[in-house]
Amino acid sequence: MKKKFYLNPASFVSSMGKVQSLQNSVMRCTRCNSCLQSCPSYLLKPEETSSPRGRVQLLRLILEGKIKPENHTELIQKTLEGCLLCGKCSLACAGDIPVAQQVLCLSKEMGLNTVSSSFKFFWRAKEVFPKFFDFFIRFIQFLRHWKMFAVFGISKKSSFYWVRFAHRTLPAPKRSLKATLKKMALPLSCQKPDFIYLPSLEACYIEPEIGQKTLQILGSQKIHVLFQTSCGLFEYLYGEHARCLTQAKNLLTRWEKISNKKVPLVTDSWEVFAFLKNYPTLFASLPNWQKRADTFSSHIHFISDYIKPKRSTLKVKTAMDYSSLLFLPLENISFTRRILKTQAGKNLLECDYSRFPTALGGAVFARPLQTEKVLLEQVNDIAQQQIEQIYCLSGWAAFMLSATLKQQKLTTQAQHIVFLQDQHD
Amino acid sequence: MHISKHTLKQLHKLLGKENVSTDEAVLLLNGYDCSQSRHRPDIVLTFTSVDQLVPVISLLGRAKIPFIPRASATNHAGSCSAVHGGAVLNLAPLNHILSIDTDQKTAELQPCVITGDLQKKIKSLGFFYAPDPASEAVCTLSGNLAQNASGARCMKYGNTADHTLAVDFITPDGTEHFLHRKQSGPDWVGLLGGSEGTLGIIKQMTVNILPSPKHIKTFLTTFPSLQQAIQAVTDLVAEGIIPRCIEAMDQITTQAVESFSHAGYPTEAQALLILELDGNLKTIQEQTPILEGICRKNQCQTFTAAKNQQEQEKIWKGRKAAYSAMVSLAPDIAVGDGTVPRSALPQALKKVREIIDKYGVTASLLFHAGDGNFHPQIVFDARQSEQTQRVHKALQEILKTCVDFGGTISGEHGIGVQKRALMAYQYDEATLSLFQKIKQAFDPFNLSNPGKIIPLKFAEKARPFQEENKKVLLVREEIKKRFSSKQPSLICGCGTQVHTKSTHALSVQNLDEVLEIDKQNFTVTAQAGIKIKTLLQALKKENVFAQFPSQYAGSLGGLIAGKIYPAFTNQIIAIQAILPNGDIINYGGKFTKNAAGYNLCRLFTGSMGQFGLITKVTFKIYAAQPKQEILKGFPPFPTDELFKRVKKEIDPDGLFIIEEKKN
Repeated sequence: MKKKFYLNPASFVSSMGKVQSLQNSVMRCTRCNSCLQSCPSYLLKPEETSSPRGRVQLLRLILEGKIKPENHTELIQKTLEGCLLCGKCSLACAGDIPVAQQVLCLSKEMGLNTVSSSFKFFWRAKEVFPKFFDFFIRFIQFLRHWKMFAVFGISKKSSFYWVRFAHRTLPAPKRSLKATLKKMALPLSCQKPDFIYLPSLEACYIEPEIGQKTLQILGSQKIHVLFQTSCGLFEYLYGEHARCLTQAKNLLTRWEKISNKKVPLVTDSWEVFAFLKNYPTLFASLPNWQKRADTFSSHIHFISDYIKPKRSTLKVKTAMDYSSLLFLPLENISFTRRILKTQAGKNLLECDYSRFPTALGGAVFARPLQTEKVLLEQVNDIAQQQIEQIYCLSGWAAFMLSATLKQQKLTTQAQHIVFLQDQHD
Repeated sequence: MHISKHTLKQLHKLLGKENVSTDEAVLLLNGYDCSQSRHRPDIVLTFTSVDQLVPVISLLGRAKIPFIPRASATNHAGSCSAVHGGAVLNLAPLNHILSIDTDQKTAELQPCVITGDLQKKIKSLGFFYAPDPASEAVCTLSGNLAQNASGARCMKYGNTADHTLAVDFITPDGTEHFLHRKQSGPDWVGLLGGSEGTLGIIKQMTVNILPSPKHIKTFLTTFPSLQQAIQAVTDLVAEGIIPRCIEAMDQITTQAVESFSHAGYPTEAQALLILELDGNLKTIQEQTPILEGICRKNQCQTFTAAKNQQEQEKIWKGRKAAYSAMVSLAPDIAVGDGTVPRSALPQALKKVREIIDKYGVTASLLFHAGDGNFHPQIVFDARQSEQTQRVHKALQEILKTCVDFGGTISGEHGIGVQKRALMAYQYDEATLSLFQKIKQAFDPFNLSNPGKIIPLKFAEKARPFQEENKKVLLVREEIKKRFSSKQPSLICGCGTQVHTKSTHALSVQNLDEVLEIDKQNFTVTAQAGIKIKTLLQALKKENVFAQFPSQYAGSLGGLIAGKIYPAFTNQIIAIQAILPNGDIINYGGKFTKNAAGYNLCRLFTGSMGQFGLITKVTFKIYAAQPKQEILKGFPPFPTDELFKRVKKEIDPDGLFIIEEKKN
């Protein structure tokens, strides 16, 4: 017997600064299709079921009872998986419809698995057994170093496809950020810090240089680094709402305790930044927490806020990849763009290629197959525009883009935005 | 509708299983567009290659399955909803630019190239594509042609049909036709403009591209009344200045837009105009003071010229945000696109505001002041049925108002299923009947996008016939007499093309009046039998010019029916003709944008008098002499399949002949 699904029309969806019921947000779609050409999935497969409008209208059909979700699970799963959660459609939408959030809401309420369970287990181990997680990372790196994935046949299994994808895109194994800082005898915590730094997972485990650069840019001796602290992003995207709220509350409380509600919290990942900025809407149903989240949110900074630009130091054709896993209005990156503009001058290109945004963060592993296709299209655009240097707003984006560029034998460099600092040194 | 297993199997074979869907959810997701219309198809077919089109359409034709072409589905008229069920053809993947020829100034395209993509591609080559529908970032070129969606630059550069050079076209029986503007016979490409896919499917198209203007200058100006704003536009045209675009909004709209977008628009003025001049620097420098002078003469309150690109973008910011400003107010929006003669705009807009107030609906009013096309955007919540009904009634009344003011119910959005009933308000029975005959000729089994454009049971509801000109009525009586006695007619004008002393000759020489020279709308209405030379003298007296070959000795009707001066084809905006059965048809008016029904001006152009006798023509005039083109010789008689099909429908007895039969 088929499992009956029930979708609550009153459940919340939130975009930046707006919380509304699922039904209201769906009804706002006037089917104008302004979102169409912004969706990387649609560009790859021009069908209504691959378009943001199609996703919203699918939700509407379910809410209106015109289709029974239990009879169309395969199609719904396919439609939802097609969404890379990049939020570009919401930027193009006249009514600010949070399509990515609606997709998340539908997949959660219907209990659809948008990320493989093996990956979920691996990720959750980070919070529950941090030491095991660290060991696991080393183990994977060991397997990778000795090319043992193929031997075990792991990467061939569809539920482990993300391992293969990670294997292909991530840089060579390195010491973790914590270990690196310890070796350099740099302090990891301090009383009354000037900054609190929340390193991204990639800065912690994959490319510690991102973390080091961030600390260098902040340029202070009094920095408190928050290791092994989850902000709730992964749970928000692929896990449970309660778990997401717990992690968010933990982080918020920790920040208040360390900073006395005054010190800026800096992160090197655009996704984490966007998510933390979104905390007030996350706590929409908890007014007390929402107030605290408002204060917290006003102290969140992205690392590019602290980069001091030097005029005309970039001599090659440069572009910025401003794609993001979560929807943030473009004005949020205007400062980062200004820095690049100062440093690159006429060499800065308007990134037309960004119509194929790099699908970042968890989406990479949730939808590696779609991500690979999008990346190839993006690289194609980069080649056409003859871009030589790209700055990305997160480590994942830089790794994936860099790997695909190398695979396609392009000399274009993709780096995290913190490496702009190199241009000064 | 039942689709047999055999047909399904064949479709799987032709398109691949993954491109054929009968899943209920997929069907419902392909049953809507940007309008309020929703109809569930029976099957969705996705095309991955243009080569699949002919075999699939032939198959659907054989199986008598209706089909509806669909790509971005951005139209506001319900033009791609499956009213009669059938197959939705998802043509969106056919989106490749095949070639761009900068020497010939053409681009060869697959049907569903996104208009904005073409613009981006040719911009780097120093060219632009003139039509610019507001949704150009997402709409497709074949969709633009199907709706004749033309955008803000239409006044200066013409509509989408004018810029389409050739079309590879598939009629519903699966036959492929290559249609080119330059071939003899009717302007089939022009006829497809606004046909909404009811005549067949576009497989490939070639469009004209133009060299980008070197300079563009944008102006923002406000007026104390709509009348003064429109008068300024008329004065501009009278000075021979045709701006690249003239966008306008009334005070209520300006206030709504300003509070949403903060574009810096003055909100106290009754009318706001955004004007843009393009061309070389010298011309713009010459035209700017004239433009300013005209605006000041009409008591403009503010006149701001954008000094740089940032200021230019700021001026456009509000106009571009108008749709978003309205969408942010309510979950649903109904957009109209009525068009009236430019001179009637102030009165029409006043009436429209009265209707909006009468029904208590919230609406903005944007308009292309140059061509009289306006877009009321009414916001509402479709979940409230009473409110929805009020909105629909208001919109219907607004569109009827446009017809009352001598305009049309659709300038560029098309008719689809939503405005179908109103066609009977705009056209008389004979004209609607001709539309049906054209559809019948192209699509005898009513398979291609059925249920659109032509109203149901129009004979009872159609506008009553109106023609008072005695000379026309006399000719009509003669044709009717010949029709009842099955006597053929050989139409002749001044004798430049058809010399005959036959008893079958039907002369239009006495239809020789200039009926109106309208210097407000810059149009001339003249009877078809008038000599071009006489017409030129009349225009000269009024100091206006037309796109005419001055050396042509024949009549106006002969010039059109023979298509010997193709440059004039785009100039005709209204036509009256008597069909072989004596019916008088009337199409168009004193406006350039018209997407209501099949473009009969283009059908009669080059028709050699085989479809009907042209009696009256309205065409555009200018304050300065337009560039003259070469006059062509009398073309060969069209022998193509489409011509024969249409002739058979309109004149089944073959009463209108081109030459005397030799015994």
